[in-house]
Amino acid sequence: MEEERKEKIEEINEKVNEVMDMNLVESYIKDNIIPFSYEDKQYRVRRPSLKERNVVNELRIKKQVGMLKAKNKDGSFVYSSEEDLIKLYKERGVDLNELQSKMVSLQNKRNQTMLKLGKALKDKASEGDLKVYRDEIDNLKEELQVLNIEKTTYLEFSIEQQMFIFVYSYLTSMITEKKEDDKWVSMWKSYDEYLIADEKFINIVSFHAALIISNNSLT
Amino acid sequence: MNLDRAYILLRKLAKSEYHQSIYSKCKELNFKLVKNDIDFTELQIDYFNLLSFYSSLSTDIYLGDVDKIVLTDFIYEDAYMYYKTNKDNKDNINSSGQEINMNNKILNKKKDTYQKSQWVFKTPKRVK
Repeated sequence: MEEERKEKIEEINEKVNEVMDMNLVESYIKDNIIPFSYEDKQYRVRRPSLKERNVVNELRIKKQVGMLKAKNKDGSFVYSSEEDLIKLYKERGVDLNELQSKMVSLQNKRNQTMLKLGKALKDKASEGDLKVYRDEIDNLKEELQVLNIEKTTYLEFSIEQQMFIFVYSYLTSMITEKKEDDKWVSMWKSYDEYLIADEKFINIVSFHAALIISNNSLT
Repeated sequence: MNLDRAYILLRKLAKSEYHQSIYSKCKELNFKLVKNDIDFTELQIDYFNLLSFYSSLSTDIYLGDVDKIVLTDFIYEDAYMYYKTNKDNKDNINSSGQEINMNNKILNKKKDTYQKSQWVFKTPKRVK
């Protein structure tokens, strides 16, 4: 009885949380500016302007060329590209090309199963049949996710990944604003200031920035 | 809230009767869905795509092309729409499920469903 009551309360709490979060998401799509509060202060992230995107792009080129050129005292390169890392891992017995092929094969298998499930839905197949395909797709998705994380982890320190993080962080530092005397002003005067900011706050800002910044701005 | 949850909730919002009705009325009466006219955010673009995705799905249900059961699971929804988009292009899919062009060259098509990729944060997120 007590267990049932607890379960019921948990269920209600979950529903209330979902409604609250849904209202929040609804507020995020109303405009291209997302306000939020942190420790009783008001902040917002806004969409980066074309000028800001151009500034970041120029910096990206400069930084990428710098990373490609940087050498150690012994003449070897300091940073590795994805291609370099793939070669290096292969020498150490980790075949990332094989991992990539496995991912493509799983994606193709998932596409084929999606077609089968789609056709089964169109043909109004039984719920049992639909569930078989559904579970297969779910398993394939999970397998793909695990491989994707594995690949990303291996290539985390490549120049390409580092550039992605740099551009994303730089844009985030530019588009975050705080409210001061009823006026919105830049949160950080420079990227260096952003880099030493409180990590908890950065994570909150990053979440909101990710809702704003499109993948196109990052490449 | 994390990005995955935000995306699932966005999908639920776009699927809701209220948002579908607003979407249909906005096309009819020509009013704006969001405050800004340009410079849409990533989330707004996803929202518009999802509105159109569910509107198309609802039309098919109304026309009897597919049963309402399709709406009980995101995977059913994705699979049905993927089938609908690709059924006429079956010639463009090889036996391994890869999309190919007229010269049988494999295409690197990026996305077919509403799957969102993980973002890289200062502290990368890992799955348990």
